[in-house]
Amino acid sequence: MDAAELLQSYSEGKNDFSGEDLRGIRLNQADLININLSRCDLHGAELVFAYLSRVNLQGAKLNNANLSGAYLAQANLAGTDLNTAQLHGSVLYRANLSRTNGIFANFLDASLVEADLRGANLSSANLRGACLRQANLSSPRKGGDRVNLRRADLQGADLQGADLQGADLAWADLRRANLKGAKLLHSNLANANLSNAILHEANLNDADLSEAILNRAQLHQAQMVRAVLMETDLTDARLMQANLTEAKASKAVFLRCQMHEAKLTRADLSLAVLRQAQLVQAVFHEAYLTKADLRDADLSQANLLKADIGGANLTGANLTGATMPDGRVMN
Amino acid sequence: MTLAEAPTIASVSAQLEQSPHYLRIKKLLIFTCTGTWETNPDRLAAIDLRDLVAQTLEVRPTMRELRPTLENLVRSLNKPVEYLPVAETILRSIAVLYPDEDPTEWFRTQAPRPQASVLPPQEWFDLRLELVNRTNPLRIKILIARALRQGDVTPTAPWLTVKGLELERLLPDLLLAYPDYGELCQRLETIAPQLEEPEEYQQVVGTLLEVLKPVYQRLHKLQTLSDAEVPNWSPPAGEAVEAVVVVGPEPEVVAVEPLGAVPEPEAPPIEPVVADIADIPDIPEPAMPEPGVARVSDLFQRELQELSIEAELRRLVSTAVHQVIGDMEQVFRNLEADLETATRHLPPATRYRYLREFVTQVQDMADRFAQILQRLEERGQ
Repeated sequence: MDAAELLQSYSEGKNDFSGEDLRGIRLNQADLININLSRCDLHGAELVFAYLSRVNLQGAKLNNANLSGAYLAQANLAGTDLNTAQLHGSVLYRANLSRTNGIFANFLDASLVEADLRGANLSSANLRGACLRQANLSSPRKGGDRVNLRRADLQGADLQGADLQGADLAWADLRRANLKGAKLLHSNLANANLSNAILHEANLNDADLSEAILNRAQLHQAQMVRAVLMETDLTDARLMQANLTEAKASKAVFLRCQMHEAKLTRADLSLAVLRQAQLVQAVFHEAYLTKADLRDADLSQANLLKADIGGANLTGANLTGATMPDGRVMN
Repeated sequence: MTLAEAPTIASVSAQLEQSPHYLRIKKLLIFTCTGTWETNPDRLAAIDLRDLVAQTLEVRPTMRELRPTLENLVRSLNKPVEYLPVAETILRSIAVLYPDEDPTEWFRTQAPRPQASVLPPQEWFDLRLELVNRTNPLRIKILIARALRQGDVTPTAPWLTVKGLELERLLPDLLLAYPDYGELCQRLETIAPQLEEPEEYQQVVGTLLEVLKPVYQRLHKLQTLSDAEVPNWSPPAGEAVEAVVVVGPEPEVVAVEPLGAVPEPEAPPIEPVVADIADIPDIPEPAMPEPGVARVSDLFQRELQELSIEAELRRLVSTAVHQVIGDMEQVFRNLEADLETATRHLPPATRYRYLREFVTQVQDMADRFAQILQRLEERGQ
């Protein structure tokens, strides 16, 4: 079926084109609202600026298709093949992209607000500047497919309030991304780059951030309970009132971090670099600080009760009013 | 891409020569290669663009070196707004000649330019959200790129030419390029009918202007507040300032803005290093604005930069003040508790006297700091 035939049939009221072979079809700017294209082969199709709101594309093959600027609001793209597809600047508001395969797909500056991406495979996809507010990218704790965003480019992406529980974001580029209030519990952010990212009030409990880069990241009041921060680079990050209880932060770098009133109870900070960090009123109760570098850190009013500071370097540190491991309060 | 299609110095030069700004392209490249700002039209015409491109590849062997060179140069010019898209054109075209660099990857790895700091990051996200919720993101990009003359937007396949551009950068660039809201309205309304599906773009223009209007209004308000105090210094070259706010004046204010509010020309806050005098075929403009004849857009441009720095400084000060006040309250509470214990057999007035003494001493110390700083400030002028 060619474009003219399809458009003719559609204008005559036919709506169901499911299972059709539509490879390479050119439907740029076509108005196809509500059409049923489920299980269609649309490999290499051109649908630039096409109106496809509420369209049914479930199980369709859209690999290498060009859907740049297409209106796909509330469309059903569940289980589609979007590998290497172009969705640059497309509108996917509340679209269903669950179990979609979008390896190397291009979602640059696309709108994916409230989209359902559960179980999607978007590894190495380009999601730069994409708006994913309140999108659902969650993965079940056990069984089911985990959202795959490994090595995805999410620079400057807006993920505020998105649900990324259990998502695999290893090696992802999240520089300057907005993750304010995002749910990142149990997510894998190992080796990810989160420099300059906004993570205020984000929930990173049990997340794996080992060897991730979080330079200048904003983590005010972030929840990082039991988070793995092994060799994580948090230079110049802001962690005021962040909760790092029981965090595994051995060899992590907190150089010049702003960590006023941060909670580090029972955290493993052995060999961590906390040099010049602002740790005023931080709580290190029972924390493990063996061989930590705390040179020139401001620990005034900090609580180090029962903390293990064996071999820690406190040269030049300000301990005014700090409670030491033995309960002694420094003058 | 086949070998025959592989970009060459000749093909890139030919592409650059098609640009309406090819003389400006030449000027920027000459400065990059020789450190000289060439304005003589004969000499400019005599220099072969292919030689310049080849020389640029030699003197700046990586894109990482070329980009900051061009950016710093543009910042130092007295017409940065006009030259910014020219520099972008050069970078986009020439990127293909750097085989060691994947241009796409290279664009990805760049830190946001200082212009991106005109609003706090969170506000950019909110602005973009409002735009993409109300209109088509790709059409917004095409429209802005056209307004900024970036990406060589052609009517046939405009989406292809904005593939390498990001809304994250286009929006700040637009605000900087059009500090005047009226001028922005005019420009966008002129562009929309020229694009394919103009009625679609009319809607985008309407939305864009509606969304940006409160930003301009708010920024203008902040500018009015800051008018009296314009810092007399410039940021270190190449330093990315994480500033908070810049201003965008409204047209009616532009008309009545007294030029006396502009910084003194003999000590401009951002000293142009390079004077752009003979910008042929453009209308020649004085390199240094004279008092009373300065271009309003240039002045606002300068103020945009200054005020973004100033706003950041104010934010830093405000944060420090809040921190000190918080600490002081804690110290005060502790002292009060200690005094309460120590003076429990004495009348409460004793406790208050000592608390007042604490406050007075802190105040004296703050006054002394202020005096020292005032002296240093006077000496530094």
